[in-house]
Amino acid sequence: MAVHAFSSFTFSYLNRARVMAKSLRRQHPDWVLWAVMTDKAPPGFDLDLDAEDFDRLITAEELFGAETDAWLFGHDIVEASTAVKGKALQRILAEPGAERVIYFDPDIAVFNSMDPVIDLLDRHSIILTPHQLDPENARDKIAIRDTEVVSLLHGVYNLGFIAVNQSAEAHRFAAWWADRLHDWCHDRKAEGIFVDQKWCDLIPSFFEGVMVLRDPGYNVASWNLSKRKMSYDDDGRCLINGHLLRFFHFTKLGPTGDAMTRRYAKDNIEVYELWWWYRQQVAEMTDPAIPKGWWHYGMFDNGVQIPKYVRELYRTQDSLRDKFVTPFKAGDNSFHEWLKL
Amino acid sequence: MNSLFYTIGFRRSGKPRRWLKAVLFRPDSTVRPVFHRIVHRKNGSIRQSFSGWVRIAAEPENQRADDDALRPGEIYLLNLKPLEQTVERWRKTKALPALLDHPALERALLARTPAAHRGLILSVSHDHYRKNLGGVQLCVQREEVMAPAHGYDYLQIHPWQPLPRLAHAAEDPDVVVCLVLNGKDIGVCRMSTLTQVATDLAGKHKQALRLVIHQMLGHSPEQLADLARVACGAQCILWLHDFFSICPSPTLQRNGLAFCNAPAVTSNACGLCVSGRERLSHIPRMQDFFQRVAADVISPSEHTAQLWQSRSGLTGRTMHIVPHVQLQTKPRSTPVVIRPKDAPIRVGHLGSLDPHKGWNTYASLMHDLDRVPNLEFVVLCAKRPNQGEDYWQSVKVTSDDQSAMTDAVESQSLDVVLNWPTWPETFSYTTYEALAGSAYVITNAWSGNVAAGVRALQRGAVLNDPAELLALFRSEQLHNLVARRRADHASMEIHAVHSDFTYHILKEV
Repeated sequence: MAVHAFSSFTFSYLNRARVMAKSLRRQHPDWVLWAVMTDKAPPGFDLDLDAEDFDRLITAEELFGAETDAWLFGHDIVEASTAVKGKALQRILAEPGAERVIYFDPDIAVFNSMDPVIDLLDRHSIILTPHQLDPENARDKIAIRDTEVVSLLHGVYNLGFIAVNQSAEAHRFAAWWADRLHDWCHDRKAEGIFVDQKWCDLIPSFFEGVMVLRDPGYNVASWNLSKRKMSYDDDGRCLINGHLLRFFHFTKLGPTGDAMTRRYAKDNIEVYELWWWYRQQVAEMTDPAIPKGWWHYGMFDNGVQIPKYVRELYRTQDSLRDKFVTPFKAGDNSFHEWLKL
Repeated sequence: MNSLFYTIGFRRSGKPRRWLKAVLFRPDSTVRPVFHRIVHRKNGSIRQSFSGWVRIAAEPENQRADDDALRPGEIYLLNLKPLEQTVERWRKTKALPALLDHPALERALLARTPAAHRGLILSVSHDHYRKNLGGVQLCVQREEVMAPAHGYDYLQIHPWQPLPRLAHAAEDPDVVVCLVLNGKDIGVCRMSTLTQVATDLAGKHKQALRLVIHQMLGHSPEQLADLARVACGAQCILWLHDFFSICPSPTLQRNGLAFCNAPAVTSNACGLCVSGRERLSHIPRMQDFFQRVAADVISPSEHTAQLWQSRSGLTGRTMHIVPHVQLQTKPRSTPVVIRPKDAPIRVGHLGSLDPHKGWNTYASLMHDLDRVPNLEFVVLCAKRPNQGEDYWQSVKVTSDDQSAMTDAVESQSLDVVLNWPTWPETFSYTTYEALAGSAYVITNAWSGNVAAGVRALQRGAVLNDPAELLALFRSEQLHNLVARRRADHASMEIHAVHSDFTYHILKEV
């Protein structure tokens, strides 16, 4: 069974992606791992794929061709990194021999075998993990706001993970997702749009063979810690509510993640230990040649950062897109000059 | 920290008083510059006195503090470093002293008084047992003092460079060791030099050498095996003071916080533990040692022997159970002053303030019971904790003052001692010291020999979890326990009988 897994990231998240790939490789040495990179390397850094746990690399340029620059200009880093996922999924599904395709966010680490998901894909076309499996207590308004309301705003399912097979239905989903992400992968929560993720609320309505994975050992993260307790058994296996921990999503590494952990993990010290481990792993995988926060598409070619409002302006104004077909360029008659930044 | 400052700066619960918060924090809860100077040590770690309530995020620019007390485990993890970073922090910066060469060492060892016909114990442990306090050090001290009576001189060998793991050959293939002969420092040499001299002592000079391993931290097991093979008939006596033969974490603590029960090195627990990476090489090195050397293993308790045999995958030639201390009760021959019924209940913590010794649980209990009247928290240890305790007494147990802790327990009239380790103690001197001082011991069900000792003497309580502990302290149960203890104290006295340690089995093996 040839399983392909992919992750979408930029160079500033390469450290996390390396941790994810290493953890996945340990569990599934035979899987083919793809890095989908929406970025260009900073000066002084060369990505040597032979030295990485990834087998294949695909860039936004390879996926989107001539329209890449203009299209990416209208997206911030989160929007861009997620907008490529649909097309990447189509590309990998088209890879000869790929029978199952799984997406993992780069800030995930896999701790035990994902074979049950592969088995489930015998009977289901698309597998999703919801942010939460259990409702909060009615009296805990803060928790409801932090979890259920956030899911209503950002999407019921967490698209840090999705698994598909080679069924017609999976292909139909991938095509639909790629279409939507081309034009609508933005953070516009007031309009009910949140990048790639909120679109997937529609998957169970639109497609057959969808499974919502209710095992608490998958996609454990700060948004569901209030209902998931981590422990170890006598054989040292990591458990979540008694189920094997399959993967943990280390979202928001830093003070925000710490605050959520403290608020919802409470005395579950095992969770804090997990975060400690993750920090050390990310630190080990961090290459000093990559500047913190680096993103090639985050600036004009003169190094000036591109404000979000400029991106929004560009993507909503046909006239600007028609006039400035190479928006990243600075200099005479450029979009940068027109903006008078 | 000055205890007066602590008293006026902190509430009994461990939280800062309002004035101290105003000095250290801005209204938006970000820290003032003075915060770092007061709260942090030079190496960046948090001073223990502040650890009960301060939260420091990983990045300095995000440092905040609020009213929520940090959990002790969180504080521990904030200060926890990867093992190799700890190794680097431990690296000595001073130059190696002049090393004893073969002739000099041979002369020193042959010049033992009163006569060189006595046997020689080669005692291996991890530090200078006469300069550092602890259970293993105390055992080595007592063993050294007893050596002449059993016909031996005593050469203790500890690494010049202390390490929180075995020595790696890549760092130095020939470990430098410090030598202490009959309690006196005689110098420093390489293990290869010691092995050559020991070979000559055993061969040329026909002396009886016995290798006794108390602790291998910082040592090369390969070089110890060489020493055993060439000088001691490929035999040794190996003590199970802890479980270092199973894992670089001697107390089998996952990330220093929870007992792990030594799972497979490929398990999640090992993979996520600060000791896990080192354990990958630690296990085969220990297996190799046990294959090359016939070890007569001594365990200070039945529980430890069983756990080691079931989890280590190692086999010694023989296994012996030799408790360090046994307690005998007998009716009092002279009356003692009994504390009045309404006298405050004195709750003690003895010894180390490390998490695995139960300090975090004691500190939490102290803070949780802040407003409960008639409870006094008394800490007997070398260094004042300043975390809200009512009384502190400096106590150091040495071979010259073996009963120092027991005497302090008695003089402080401790009713109960909380001994809540996070690992199954192989022996626990503090438990026996508490019991010998007539205190009862409250412990948990996974404390190994602590629970075994309490159950055997029926002097205390063995509880199942921290919730039960808190419930005990908030109920009449505690008063009943203390009443029983005070009645026992009035009628019975307890004597500690110390073992002969290694000498107990030396003639047999």
